[in-house]
Amino acid sequence: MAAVTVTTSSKAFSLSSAAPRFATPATPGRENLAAAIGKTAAILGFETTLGPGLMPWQHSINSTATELDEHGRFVYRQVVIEVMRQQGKTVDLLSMMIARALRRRGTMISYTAQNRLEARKRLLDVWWPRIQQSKLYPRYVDVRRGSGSEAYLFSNGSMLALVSSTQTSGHGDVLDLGVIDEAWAQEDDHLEQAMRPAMMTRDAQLWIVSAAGTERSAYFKAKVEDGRARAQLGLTDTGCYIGYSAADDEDPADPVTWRRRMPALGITVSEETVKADLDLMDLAEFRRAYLCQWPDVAKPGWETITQDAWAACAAPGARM
Amino acid sequence: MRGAWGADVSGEIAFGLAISDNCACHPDKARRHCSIVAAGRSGSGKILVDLAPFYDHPRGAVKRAAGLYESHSPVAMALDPKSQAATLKKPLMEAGIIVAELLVEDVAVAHGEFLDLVDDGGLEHLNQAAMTAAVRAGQQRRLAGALAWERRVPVDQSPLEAATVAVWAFRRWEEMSQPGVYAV
Repeated sequence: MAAVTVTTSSKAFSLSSAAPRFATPATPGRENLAAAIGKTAAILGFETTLGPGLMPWQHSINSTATELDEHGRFVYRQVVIEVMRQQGKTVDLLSMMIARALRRRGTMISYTAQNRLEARKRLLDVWWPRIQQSKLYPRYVDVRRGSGSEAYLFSNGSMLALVSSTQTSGHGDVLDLGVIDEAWAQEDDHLEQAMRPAMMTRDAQLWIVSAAGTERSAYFKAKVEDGRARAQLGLTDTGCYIGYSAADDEDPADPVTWRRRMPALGITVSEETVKADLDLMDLAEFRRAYLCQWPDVAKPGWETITQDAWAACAAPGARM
Repeated sequence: MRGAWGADVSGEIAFGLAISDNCACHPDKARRHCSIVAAGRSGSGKILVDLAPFYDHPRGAVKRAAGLYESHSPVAMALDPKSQAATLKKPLMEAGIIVAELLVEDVAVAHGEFLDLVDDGGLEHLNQAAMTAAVRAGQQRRLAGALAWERRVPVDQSPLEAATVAVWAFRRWEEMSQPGVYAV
């Protein structure tokens, strides 16, 4: 099996023009797994107009999120990534998970998306054909398709399996990496409650990744608020947060906003596509999914009764 | 809120009661506020809704409602028994207040009538901040083939829900008090 090497943060790719609005600062001198993850992405056949492998923003978050301490242990036990849709976060997650499985024998990884069905679809229908076409198959990884026990089985004893959104049987298992993708779909922390105890004895990480959510996305909203506060304080231990989003007062229809905030714009996503989607989508949904603005910003209100209609009914001096 | 609310009320009024619900983003917001909204005809002939009677923690709602019932002899004191306000029903009845309860279809009718009143310019309000905030954040939910206010949104909906219930109760009283309505 190919050895996976680590690199220092200084070797990470430079950022594209879109920078995260809030981010845990990178710590110079700490080693990380970004190069290994990028290499895995190239092996899996991911490529953009910039070449094979990952985009600069993906390298950047991998550099910080996988920083290692002087003992070679992960600095951050929790990684929260907030990024808009179709920017390549799932490509990055797959590359990261495969790299981690190959890096250390017996690595146990649990992955989930909006629900088990969506996660299964990604594992078996979207990702597996790509893995199958790479040089990782069949020498390094195979698949188990049995309903309820779907997993990638690695020749070094590592395993990437699915977590059910209703899982409670996580208790008692050992877990090195938990990934909650599309975390906006989780209304509470039951998945984390199932996974975290299994990580206690391990050099483990929990990755929580999503675009901004809806009014019901209490779990991810809390992670984002905590992460932004940590980032603003400049904390570089325990929890890592990197978030790409538009500020509350930025014009959602202005391409300047898109260029400033969307990390994959001009690489895998074109301005023409974003403009077309803006025209076709409900504005509040566009602001949520494409600009990572939460409902308190993206939905200014007056959806049922219009502001004009309500104002027309105002009669401040009226008496019964 | 004015403690002596309604000293200048001259016409018939109905009261609607509602208690705030929570939402997923703010699970701690349930039952923080109770709204008692008065509805009646204003001098212009339109239906006026007023949140001034009570907007505070639910613990003081029954006492306030009993005082309003005594001082104003409302034509109705109404609530939705399938909402957070259901807990008020028993203590209100024990306080000697006759409570008008909305059936599911009444909730749908109340919602639709309220929207129609706003659209037709038949409603008046006093620009009260909590009421306007609730209206601004108002969303709809499906209710047995119709629509009703969605209670689980980040902004307290109890003022809007109480206003809707109050208007419904007042209009039903108006219908029933028309001359000839009981003629066979």
